[in-house]
Amino acid sequence: MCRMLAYVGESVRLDDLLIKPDSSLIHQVVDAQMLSMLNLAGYGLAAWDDAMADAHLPLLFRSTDVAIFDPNLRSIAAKLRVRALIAHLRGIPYDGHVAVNRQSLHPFSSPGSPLVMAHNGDLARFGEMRYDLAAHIRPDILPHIAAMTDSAWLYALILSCIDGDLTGPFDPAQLLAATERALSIIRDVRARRGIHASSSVNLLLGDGRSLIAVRFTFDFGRFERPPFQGGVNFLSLWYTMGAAYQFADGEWKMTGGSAGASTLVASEPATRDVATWVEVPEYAALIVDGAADGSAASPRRRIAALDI
Amino acid sequence: MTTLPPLLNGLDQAALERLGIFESRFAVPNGDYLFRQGQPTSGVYVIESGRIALVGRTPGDGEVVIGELGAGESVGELSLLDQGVRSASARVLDDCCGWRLSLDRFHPLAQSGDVGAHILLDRMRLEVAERTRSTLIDIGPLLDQGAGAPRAIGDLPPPTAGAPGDMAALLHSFPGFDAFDAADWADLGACVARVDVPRGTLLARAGEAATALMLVARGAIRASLPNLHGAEQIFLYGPGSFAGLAPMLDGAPRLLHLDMREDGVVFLIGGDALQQLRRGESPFARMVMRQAGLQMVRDLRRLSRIVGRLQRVAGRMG
Repeated sequence: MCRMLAYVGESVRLDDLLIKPDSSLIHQVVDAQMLSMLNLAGYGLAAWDDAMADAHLPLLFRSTDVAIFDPNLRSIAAKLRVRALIAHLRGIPYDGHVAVNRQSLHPFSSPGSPLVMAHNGDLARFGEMRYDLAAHIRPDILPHIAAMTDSAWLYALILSCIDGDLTGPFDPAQLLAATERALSIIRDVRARRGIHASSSVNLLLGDGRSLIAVRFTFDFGRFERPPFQGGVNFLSLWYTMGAAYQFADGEWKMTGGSAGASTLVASEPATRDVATWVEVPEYAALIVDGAADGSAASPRRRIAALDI
Repeated sequence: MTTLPPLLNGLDQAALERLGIFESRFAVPNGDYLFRQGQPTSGVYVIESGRIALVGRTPGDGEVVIGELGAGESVGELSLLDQGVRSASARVLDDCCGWRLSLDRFHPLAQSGDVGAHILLDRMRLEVAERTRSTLIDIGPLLDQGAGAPRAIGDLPPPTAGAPGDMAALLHSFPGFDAFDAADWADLGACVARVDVPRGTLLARAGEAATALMLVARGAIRASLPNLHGAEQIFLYGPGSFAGLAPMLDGAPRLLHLDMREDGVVFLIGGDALQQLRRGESPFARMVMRQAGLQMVRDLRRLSRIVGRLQRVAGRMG
């Protein structure tokens, strides 16, 4: 069922985000606190930093290795600093029906575009929806869909719903509007196909400056028969904010006050102590504007309801 | 011990002795903590002398003082309903001492139907209903400042009631209901009416008197607080959850609209049936009310987080 994490803010070492906290993303491969599944089907990340070449485009790294066992990830993470990140662990059902391959790994990206997307959840009976969705995907994007999975097509659909070219940078409102349009199209296709099963679509969508963190489920609670894969609760999404994410007073936390420029979003808190984390409301999106100054007229973060 | 906190008022000596309230003393010096946010709960503290501050942590390494308590008051009492973790820290302001009611002692008594334990549980549910109500009232102005996300609620026809059907098949997988046996399902079936409700249906309007508690079996109920712009979603109740507990317990008008966020199945528990359950005379009734208590605490904690979020937005979230 996957786990994911995004960060926008002050430059920070990658292992501070991904590895060191006591319930960090790589611990969630085998020991997620808010999900009773293992996330063994590979991992990926998109990272931005001003010191990188073509700094507006992300460094992309994906591997079918199990993240917690991968020494390369630890080695890279100990040397790399990032000011923005979207990372994802892939978890798939234990039934052998879903392929483990590099093409299906998140975050999904498009050549020449800084915009990437990671998905936590799954669209029930996606195979029946795929070709209905094709009608809504731009002809120049359709041939480049990386995989046959719901997530890969969801990314293509969101890209297709963006007004303007895909080279960015993107306004957060533009990304939110595209996401809402894409979710509406999926809602219509599900209705047409008679698909009613609860289907989670938590998303992290970002270009290294702007970030949209979506907590959404189609037909939440319309479970069919137990056991319900991934649990019976609305799939979680949490965030915390401050000036800097660091180890202080014996714990990993954001410091410097909540008005700081850094935001960390994750499927579940990166620490077992969740006291300084906040849930993104159900059917809502956290919108982070990395270019904003934090004033009342230009807030860095806001919550928008998704009435889809 | 001369002053009992309101929570224990009226309990006779025998009930207090069974609860073991005077068997365990505590004393904590100024500056130390009685307990910290996130720690597992272990008991309720009755303050005999001194003062404590209840403090919550906030993102960015900040903290907010939720309230101060002194002699004759109790702290940590939500743990009677929910043995989770502490939702705030209790920092001692003036050397503090008093008595501790141990949860290890309390919960077996509650499970066995002890009268004193039952009175405490019922009081706590009413207390949580009151705190939920007052917090919702406090949130109103924050939403009116535009901090919330506006949404209109439509006026839709009421659902049609029908027979309960196979409740066990719908609910047995959800926490709390997984312990029900055939007799429990029969008892529950006898006190509910089933409604199959389409998405968007307005189930109850804020300002109305509550006439039924709603148990969600499929789909989801959204509870929204009306404001100048429409309504802001406060709670979302999925399968296995109750909607509308606070007004059904305290009898005051609803503060929240309830509407179906997704197509679903809901079981309605009327006022008389709920009163019967509240009396806790059977293990089944105690099991249902335990579920209700757990959810009320969850809701209250969620509400506190929403207040924190809205206050940051109203004061500029940054």
